[in-house]
Amino acid sequence: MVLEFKLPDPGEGIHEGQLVKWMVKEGDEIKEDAPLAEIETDKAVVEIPSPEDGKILKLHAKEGDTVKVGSIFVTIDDGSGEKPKEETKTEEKEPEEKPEMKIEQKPMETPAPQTKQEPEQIPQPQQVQPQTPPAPSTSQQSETPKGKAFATPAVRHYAREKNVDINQVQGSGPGGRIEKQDIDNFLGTPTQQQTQPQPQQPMQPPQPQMPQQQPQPMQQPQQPQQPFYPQYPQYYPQPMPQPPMPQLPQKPALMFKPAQIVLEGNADRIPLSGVRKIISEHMEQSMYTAPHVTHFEELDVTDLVEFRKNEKADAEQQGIKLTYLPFIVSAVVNALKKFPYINSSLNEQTNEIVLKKFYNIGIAVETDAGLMVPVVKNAEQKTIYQIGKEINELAQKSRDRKISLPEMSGGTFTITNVGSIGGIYSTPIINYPEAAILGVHRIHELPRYINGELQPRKILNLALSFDHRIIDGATAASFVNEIKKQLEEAKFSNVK
Amino acid sequence: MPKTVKHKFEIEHLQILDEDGNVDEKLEPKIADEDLKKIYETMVVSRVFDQKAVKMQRQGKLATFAPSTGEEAAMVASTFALRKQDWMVPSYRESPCFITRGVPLEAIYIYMKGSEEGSRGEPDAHNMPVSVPVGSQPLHAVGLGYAAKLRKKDEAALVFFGDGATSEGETLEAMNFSGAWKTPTIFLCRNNGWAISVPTTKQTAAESFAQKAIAFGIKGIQVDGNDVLAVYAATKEAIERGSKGKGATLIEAITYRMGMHTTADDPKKYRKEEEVEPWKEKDPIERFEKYLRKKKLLDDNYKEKVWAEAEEKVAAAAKKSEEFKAGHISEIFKYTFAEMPYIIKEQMDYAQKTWEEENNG
Amino acid sequence: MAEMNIVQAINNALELEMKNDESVVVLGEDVGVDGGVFRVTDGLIDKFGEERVIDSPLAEAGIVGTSVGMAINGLKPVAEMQFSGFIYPAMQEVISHAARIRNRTRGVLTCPLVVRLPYGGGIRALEHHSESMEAMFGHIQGIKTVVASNPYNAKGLLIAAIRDPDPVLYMEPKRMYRAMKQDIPDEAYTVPIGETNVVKQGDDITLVSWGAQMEVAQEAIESLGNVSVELIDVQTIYPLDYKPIVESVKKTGKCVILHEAARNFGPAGEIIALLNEHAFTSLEAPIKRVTGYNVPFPLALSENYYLPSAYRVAKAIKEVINY
Repeated sequence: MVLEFKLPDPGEGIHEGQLVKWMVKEGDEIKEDAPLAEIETDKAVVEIPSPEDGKILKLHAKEGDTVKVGSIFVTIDDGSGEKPKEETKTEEKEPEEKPEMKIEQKPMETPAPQTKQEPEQIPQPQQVQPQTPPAPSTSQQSETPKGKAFATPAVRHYAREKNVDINQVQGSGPGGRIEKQDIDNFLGTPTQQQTQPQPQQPMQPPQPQMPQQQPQPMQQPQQPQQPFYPQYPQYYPQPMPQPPMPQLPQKPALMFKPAQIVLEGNADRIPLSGVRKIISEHMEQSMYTAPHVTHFEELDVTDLVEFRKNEKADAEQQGIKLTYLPFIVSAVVNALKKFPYINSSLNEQTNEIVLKKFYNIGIAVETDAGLMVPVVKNAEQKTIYQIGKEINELAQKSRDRKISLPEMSGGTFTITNVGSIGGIYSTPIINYPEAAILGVHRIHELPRYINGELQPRKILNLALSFDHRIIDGATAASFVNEIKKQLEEAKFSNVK
Repeated sequence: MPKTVKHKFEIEHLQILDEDGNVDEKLEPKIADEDLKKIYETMVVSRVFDQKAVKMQRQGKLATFAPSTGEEAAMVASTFALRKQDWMVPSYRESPCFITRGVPLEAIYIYMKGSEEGSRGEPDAHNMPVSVPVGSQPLHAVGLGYAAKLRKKDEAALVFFGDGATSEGETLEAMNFSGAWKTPTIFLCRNNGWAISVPTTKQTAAESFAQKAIAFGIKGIQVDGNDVLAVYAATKEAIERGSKGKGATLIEAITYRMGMHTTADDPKKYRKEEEVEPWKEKDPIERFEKYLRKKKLLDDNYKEKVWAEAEEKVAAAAKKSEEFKAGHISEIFKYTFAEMPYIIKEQMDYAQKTWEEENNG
Repeated sequence: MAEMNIVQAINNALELEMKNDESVVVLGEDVGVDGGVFRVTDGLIDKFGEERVIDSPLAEAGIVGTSVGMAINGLKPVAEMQFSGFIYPAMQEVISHAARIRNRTRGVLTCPLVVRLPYGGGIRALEHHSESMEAMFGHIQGIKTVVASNPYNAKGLLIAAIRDPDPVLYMEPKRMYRAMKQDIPDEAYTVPIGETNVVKQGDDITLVSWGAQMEVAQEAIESLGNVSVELIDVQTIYPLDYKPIVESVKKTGKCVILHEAARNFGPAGEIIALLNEHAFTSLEAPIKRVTGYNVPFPLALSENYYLPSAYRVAKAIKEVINY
């Protein structure tokens, strides 16, 4: 292989050196460790030995030149004809302070200071009337720059929670400062929007565990080293165990007094733990955060049933058990592209609706341990067969408890197929912080009028639960109509 | 009344094997033949290891390295005298001491490359890791010895430092403590002539380093540091003295730093080649070869074999160290405390996540 | 249970641990026959002998450096620096070795030592005998720093420190040595290192302090009468258990931090940074610090100009409440 030998750091932070003398010519054969050149630095004149056996192909500097550390210095061919090894990033990096500096400049993972975002959060045009505060009454109060509302962080937060543009509020506190009372007065009634008993202070996630929409880099791409002394395993602590399920932001204290459970007979006590506990917290959080509305629709999928029947044999040949789910996923993805607000999340901290441009469809799977939702990633790029294959694999992995965390995260929309067990309607709970969830029920044969004639038709009921903070009923209905159209037409172009 | 002389002192200088390989039979220590050969082989491996390390540093494969060429006798012969339970307390130049104690060669390279995996050490090996701040480690040797005494264990501690370290207060404090507490400590001062660019004449007005022991009430002896037998004998005696509760010893081993202070240093700036030349004749390995030849333990075949095997061992270790990569980012956090407090765990999680974003995303 | 002051509590802790564990040794200047210049180690040499209660030569770096070696080879040394300011010559051994041996050898060698430091002013001492350097200690990676404030936590924290596998700097509020007595249990018990103590619950404002200043804090609270102050004793400077402080400030929205150490780059800065990160949107007023000034600790006649008083604390609390 041809090695481009870069000038190494001769010691202790030298950045460049002067090439005093070449000890070789182009075309020379050289042995490993034999001297290539003399380089002079501030500290010393050093001899650079060859890193390997080979032939000198090219010398990249003249005697007297200044050569920078890390620049290509000599090209050597070792005659083996192999491709050069990938040089890892860590070897190439000069010892710079950059990563550490980035940490110091930002507080760890808290959202960007809210003050900067003030003007953007309210969909009102910019012309805000800043409260120019009168001269502060006591010297201890620091000056607020003109044009910015004068208020403490707690009051600002309160204003955001109430969706009030703080710059519009008149302050009645010391020095013209805006107080909580002023926000309430601005709103008209202090009892507005008190449907949910808010905890005293807003919930702060103690950890940078934002709702799981960012890619979770749980994989450790770096390989562990071979232990030096494997006979002493106690000196090699295990890597910190990964949590089995995604971690949730800290739960606020119970908002209601728990009900008394009255027992008038024997009862078994099962501790709430593991997957069940996580599901319990997740469901509670979803229900108490997103106002749920469920929209029902009936689909005539007689043609789809026919279509699938015809494809089944082909699919089996490829080892795929083809159910209706892959078709539904495909229709859902196409519909999501037309109704982007359904493939979104509401970021309550920054008050932004995040419209996702990728389509990771979660498929709810019932396992012994409870409900799990593996995710088919980038479903828009996959054929129906591929989706079908993946759903089967993920479901099996989930049942075998071999599913990994990355396979269960990053979802943008969820489908729950209750119909496989039974039922014609349900009101599924959104997989928070997604915006909606589609419940699919069993296909059954029912009499329907087609062009005036009574015929047996295959009927499929869908239930879309959606977050009414982000989506209105009209959007939800149109979205479901789009799915209905695709599934009833049963004309799929991306089957195989 | 006339002044009286309260205390006088004298410092002995010990040489058993001279430069021509002649041995003083009265003083010749009893060392088994296999052990003599082992000492020789270890010195050769140390020399080859050392020179390869310098080359590797110049190729960018090691960070900074402190060569020990020329001091093999002072380091190997003394360490060889230690028993398994004794402690070896190095500064930062004593790679040959680690080699003598059986530390894998690649571990030393890996430490010099820049990984704590190399300074891990084996549990119960009783080797302290490299101590970078000059003169800070003799105190540890004193504490180790004191603990051994209190726990009724027969463990001596051999601590290495250079001539420069004897100016550091902590080194002098260590010698003082060892005297007051009568610890089984052997202070081995490698007087190699230089502390980076400062010669011993600027380091101290004392005529020898060994005499500094007198001030602290411990035994001081000067030896020819390039003489394997003298170094071995003096160390062995000091170990015995400590082991029997008779206190500490300071051994001044006179040798010469043939190479640079570290690979970031250029000795030509402060010393002349003419000064280094005469020391080439005092090379400890060559001198020892002469002795072994006289004892019929070494011939040209054996010599060639030893050097060739050394080259192989060193090359294998170098290769292993080249393949060694930085550990996972969590490794820098795991060993600060026995149990990780949450304030560090939060940082570790953040660091891991952000590093992966930065490098994969 | 027995009534003890801080000196007796520390002495009791040492005695119990030395009896319980043969590897515990005490060393320092004058700690043996003299029993320590504050009599904290009084009586120990008679009970445990001079090999375990060592009158060491006068060299702080030597005391800590040899303690490092002892700790590595199976003992649990409790070294005393006669006054906390005398630790400066030993800082090399503390920072470069005691704090780093575990990391350097990936846990193969460890250094479970304790360094006892009588700290703080208010006893009209000579220059250099009134230092409060916990900010410096808190910045060292690999050692723990704790501060006692009463006989109960003096005994408990010291026992915890001795049993801790990591090096611990144990700060004793010397002006409180004999100032208060408390009924504390006879047997050995620990106050866990790395746990903040909410001493008193309150709703209006959070007051954070440690060590000798806890007494000043209590005085200030009493003088305020109708203000409901939540009083927090940090106990462990590092690793700081900041979560209870955060929870408290989320509740009250207001905070005052009190320490004797000088203001610049003092420990209050770190706590405020953490409150900024974790409780920002709860803050109803800027956080105030009541601290020593950015000057060397004055000699006896001017000591009271420097030391935070209950008046200064009460004033700060009032200002924050009325912000």
